Amino acid sequence: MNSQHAPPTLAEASRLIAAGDLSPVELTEAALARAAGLNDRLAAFIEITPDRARAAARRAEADITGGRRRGPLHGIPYGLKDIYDAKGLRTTAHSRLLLDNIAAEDAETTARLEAAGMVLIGKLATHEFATGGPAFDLPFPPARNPWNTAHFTGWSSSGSGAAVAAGILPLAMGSDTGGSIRLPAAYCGTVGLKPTYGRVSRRGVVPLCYSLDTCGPLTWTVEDAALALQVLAGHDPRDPGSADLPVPDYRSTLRQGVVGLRIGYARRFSEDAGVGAEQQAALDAAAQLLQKLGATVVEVALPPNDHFQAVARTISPAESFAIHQDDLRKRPEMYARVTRERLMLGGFVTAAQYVQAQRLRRILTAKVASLFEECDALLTAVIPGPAPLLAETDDGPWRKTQPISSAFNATGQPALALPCGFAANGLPLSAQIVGRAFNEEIVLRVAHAYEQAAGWTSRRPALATLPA
Amino acid sequence: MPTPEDSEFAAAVRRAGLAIPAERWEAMRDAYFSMQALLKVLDDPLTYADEPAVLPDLAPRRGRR
Repeated sequence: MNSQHAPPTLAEASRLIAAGDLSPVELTEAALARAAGLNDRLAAFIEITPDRARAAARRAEADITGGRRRGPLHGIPYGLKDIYDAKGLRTTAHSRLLLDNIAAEDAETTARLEAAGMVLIGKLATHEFATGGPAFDLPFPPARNPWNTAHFTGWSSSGSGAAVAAGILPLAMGSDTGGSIRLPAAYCGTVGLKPTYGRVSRRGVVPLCYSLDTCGPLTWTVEDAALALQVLAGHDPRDPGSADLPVPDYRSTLRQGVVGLRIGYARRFSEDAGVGAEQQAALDAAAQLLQKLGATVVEVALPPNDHFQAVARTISPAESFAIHQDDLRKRPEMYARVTRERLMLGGFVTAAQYVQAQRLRRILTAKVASLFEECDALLTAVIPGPAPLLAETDDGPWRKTQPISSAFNATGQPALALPCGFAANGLPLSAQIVGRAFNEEIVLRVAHAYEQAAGWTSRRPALATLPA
Repeated sequence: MPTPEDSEFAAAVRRAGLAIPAERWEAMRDAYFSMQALLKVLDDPLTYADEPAVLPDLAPRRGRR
């Protein structure tokens, strides 16, 4: 491997391994070296697991050379946000409350990635219990943005975004309750896929909010997200929120392009959420490019953002408080200040507010679903960007702004964040493609067509091309 | 003399069974009222037929084709 260049994507590594041109052991050693070499600057990992990784890589290499290749992900490194269980490893959720929490079994998602032959490199930083940070009063520091380490990585799948953007890992698992896959993707310039609620199992993943939590991948490209979802998606009878629906072949439709598709551009929705002129221009250019590629792009109106926010900011804190109330009352000092205060807000939600939010949620879900009777996908922003300075990130108990992303946690539809340009300060800007429930293949197809034509993936942070 | 807002927030803290340090009281009080302001939209009238979502209504629907 030439360490002067960015490491291969999931799809590139897969092709090289299949052709016998890349050794899983070499690839794993390179990932371990990058992880160790960059972690002082990025704080992406809570724990790096070299012994386990080397043993898995050796097994993968022996299997592949022996003609027992399990599939396209065999022998390729990955990482887990540290709320995912991996048998025998700690799951800390970035909290001192869980410092001694050793997982007795794999999360369903971990088990699927392991069965696919992937090589776990380590557990990745989050914000405590997957709430939005950053916090500086925890046993582990917050992750930093590889494009500029003075800047925020976005919400809680922070180590996942940093590790993928820095070229340490081609795949890192995240979780998304209000945007925590898509915001690190947006701020770190990666792809982040929040699948439909119910598409990917949450069993073995530390919960934040039962009815909003969604597990999914962060990757460098849309094709990589499709490859990962192929393994991750599917019914889990031990997850009560899991949908028992067939899983399509995501790769077979990925390259079908957008000719004939109708894309609803929720321009006003982004504008109303505070997207600035620079990012709005990038989104307009994305809409124009999709039109040039053969899609019909029409402006659509989503319900007011404050309705989505009222739903998300009632349900999420209320459910989180239910999970944490005992610790918040008995040992509040164990949490970081920002986590404690944000979780405590959930204790102020009344039963009537919670029920009203669930009623409004159903109305909003139906309204968004009705847009898909006229459109195949929606285009909007993820969050007003680019990434703020870490030192200037809102760490108050009440976030002054809520990202656009949380609208689609409230409604459950699949949504993917991907780069749509760069700000004047060199940081990535991001767009969001949203699809019908359980129609991730259209989301991936639209995003792939845009990504290939726009070419933003060729630009990586300088850190990603440094020698390991 | 506490204002009605002070009393409302103090009652909410008691009902939740929480202890908030004095130096964070004002920040939490502001957060509480910011949250209540956003949640005002939940007071808009709904019909009897508008039932809660137990989980998101994600029954696969036919698209436009």
